[in-house]
Amino acid sequence: MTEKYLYFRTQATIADDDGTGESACFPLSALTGMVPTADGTLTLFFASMLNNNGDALETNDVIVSDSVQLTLTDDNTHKDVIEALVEFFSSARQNMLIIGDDLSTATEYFSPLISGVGTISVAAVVAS
Amino acid sequence: MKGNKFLYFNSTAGPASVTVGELTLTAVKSDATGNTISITIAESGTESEVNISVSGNAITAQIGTSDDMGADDIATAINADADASALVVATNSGTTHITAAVSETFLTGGGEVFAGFPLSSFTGMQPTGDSELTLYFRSMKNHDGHTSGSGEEIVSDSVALTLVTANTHRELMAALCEQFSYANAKAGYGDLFIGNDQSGKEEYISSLISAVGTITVANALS
Repeated sequence: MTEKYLYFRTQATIADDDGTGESACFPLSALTGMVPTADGTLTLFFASMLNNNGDALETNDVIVSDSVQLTLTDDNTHKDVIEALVEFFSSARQNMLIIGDDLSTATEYFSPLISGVGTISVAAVVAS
Repeated sequence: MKGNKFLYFNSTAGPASVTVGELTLTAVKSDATGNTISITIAESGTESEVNISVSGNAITAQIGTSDDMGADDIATAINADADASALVVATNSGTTHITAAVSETFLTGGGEVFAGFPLSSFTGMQPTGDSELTLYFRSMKNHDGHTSGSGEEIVSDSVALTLVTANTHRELMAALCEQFSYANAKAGYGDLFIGNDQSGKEEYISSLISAVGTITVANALS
């Protein structure tokens, strides 16, 4: 099956889209799950972009998932958004799927069920 | 069955270097190992001469306490030392006497010149500057696993691409994803030359890219 890629941007100003946490693109195959994290927030988790699977026994060397928060248009519609996402993953013909783009001049969301992209967390490289 | 596809990058990223005052050290090897070389200037040792010692990739220049040695003296001493000159080439831009010790300072900016990664190793990409998009890949030299020592973390390899126009990360991401998907859809093994900085043969998979930046391949853990 051809890989698809998911794009997120939480930065509203184009000139500030220049670093970790402003925008990101993950392979769909890196998606590890999605869960509600607030009444109005669904969080998607991905295998770490900067760290590989493993288990280093040093303090603070735990490898955790990256994550992206999506803001729901209506509270507690997590199931609806998850269903819409899965349908989008399956049916979209684009190679890079724009899940959410908060750019102020051209906001774009894959579904009217979401109204924004929240925090994009790309775990830093673990290092001793 | 579709074969794996490979992404190739060719960078002119230079060897690692560092400038300390009027002294510049440039790594002999043009790869990321240069980033592990360091220089320390110590006000100790014999007066009015420079003594060089090397421990691993750490170079120490002892200049005494008379404040009568300059970057030219250190450069000469480093280049004359077999162990140090195997690591770096030293140059100086002046002869001002050094009057204070310099703590351990590492060379930076060293990167691989050429690398190829399986597309299946791609873990994602993100902006790392107004005009820089960085792609990440599962470690080439280390496998997922269980390590137990300090400094044995398994981190991703990475390649930085320079954008023609600042803040066009989304557009380039889309262009790359299109190429990835197109390549994946084709049968058999294949390759994608993402960027080639080689002089006279510059070639980029997208007109949105102007150069390949630093290619970082994590060293094998020991």
